[in-house]
Amino acid sequence: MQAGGRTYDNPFPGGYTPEHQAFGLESNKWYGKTVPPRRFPPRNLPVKGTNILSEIAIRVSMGTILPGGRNIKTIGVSSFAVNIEVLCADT
Amino acid sequence: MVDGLDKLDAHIGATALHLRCYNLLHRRWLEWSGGYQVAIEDTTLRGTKIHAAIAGKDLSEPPKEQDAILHFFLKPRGKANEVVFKPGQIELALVIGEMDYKLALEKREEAYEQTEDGVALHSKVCKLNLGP
Repeated sequence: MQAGGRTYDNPFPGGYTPEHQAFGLESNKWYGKTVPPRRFPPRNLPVKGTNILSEIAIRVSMGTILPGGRNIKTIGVSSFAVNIEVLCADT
Repeated sequence: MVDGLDKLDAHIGATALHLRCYNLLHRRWLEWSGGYQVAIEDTTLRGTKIHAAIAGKDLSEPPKEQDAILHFFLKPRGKANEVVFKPGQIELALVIGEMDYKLALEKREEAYEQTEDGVALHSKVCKLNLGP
């Protein structure tokens, strides 16, 4: 029985078998059908304290902590947003 | 109203940030409380979610002279827990003591005609001394 040039007796036409002397040589492209290494998207740069260049915002309000209370009770002053631009140099 | 608070250094220190926040709220506080003065030394700057003191009265250790709030914006990411900067918004509070709060409420009651919910309708007597 023969299919595609291959036979049960010779499954690797041309004589290339795992026993072939060229098997295992990367230059021989035997690894060509291996799964390519996964490519991950580039990660953000780790923070080193000086590579930050963006904007942050804070809201600030008056408050107090009542006895036995765990949360800060906001006192009637309207809080409002404050945009803070973060300025620093790239590493 | 918020002029002068942009373009702050991200590495701002705790004392400087405390002063900024205090100055930002001071006039509004005086208006709300009917003129009750609270010194900055009697306030504590805290996060509203993480209550640890950032600066002020209740801070038990020397204030950070830089990067006082930067840690709020640093998040672990990925399997290696790599720390990255993530822009966002945080809420801070200038916290006063319970006694100051009660005295301020009394002062407010003296100064303003209020609804039952404590909403000021109008001032009874103009006693405000908002300073320069």
